[in-house]
Amino acid sequence: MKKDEIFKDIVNQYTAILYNRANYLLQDSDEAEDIVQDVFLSAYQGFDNYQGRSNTKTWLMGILKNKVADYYRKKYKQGTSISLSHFFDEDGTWKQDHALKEWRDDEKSLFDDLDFKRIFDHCIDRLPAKWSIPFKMYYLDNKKTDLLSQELGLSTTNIWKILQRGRLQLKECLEQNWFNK
Amino acid sequence: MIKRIIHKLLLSCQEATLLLELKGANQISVFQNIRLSLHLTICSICRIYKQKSYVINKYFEDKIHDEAIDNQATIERLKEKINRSLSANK
Repeated sequence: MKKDEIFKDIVNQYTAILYNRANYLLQDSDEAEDIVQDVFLSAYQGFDNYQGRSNTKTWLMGILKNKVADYYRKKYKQGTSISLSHFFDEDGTWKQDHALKEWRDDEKSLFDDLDFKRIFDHCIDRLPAKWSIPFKMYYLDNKKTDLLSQELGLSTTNIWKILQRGRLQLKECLEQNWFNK
Repeated sequence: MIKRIIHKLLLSCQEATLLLELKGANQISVFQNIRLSLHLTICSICRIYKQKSYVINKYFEDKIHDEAIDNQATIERLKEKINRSLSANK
């Protein structure tokens, strides 16, 4: 088969999975489309060097990850300040009383509940992209924070803070929309 | 009162929630882990938070494995767009 034919197959087979990943990471369908298109352009140009070196999906997902990281670095190059004053007072003690309230179910029964998952995904969507992109990539990178820090141009200290801030916000959103409803 | 002193001297709740992140990634040092454990022994709010953060963590760990394809029409349109732009860039 000629390169163009092989590549048409690749586009056909992997567009959906790349688009879903891009859409999940960026939370913006237009940006996701642009970035996937960009991934295939780079992949096409690098195809001769790649051929057979790794699994096609791994190769394309790797290109996508780099593109998302570029996008993040460009968009948030001035850095982000992370305030926790919504959650803690000057002494670093919890502000909210409802923090004391336990969640009623274990995760097993929660994750079987489609309504809970819908609320959870809604809460993820509501995180600002400057936190949600590192947060999601942390899990996609299997918690390799050194790697993530290089990719996103953030210090590891800032990555910990983003994870902390993001998790606190997710917790609050879940409580407002599910547990304390 | 004792609680207040320990919070001040040892570790605040704000710091404890940060150390929970390091612990979750297996990157907490022995010394940090001791401070965190002591804090959790006396602080019920942070113990409850630890449970909650575990649930959130688990959700993301599970999520990686389900990548549902939701919008077939978008995907087909995108494929055409990609093929066109590839032909244009040859």
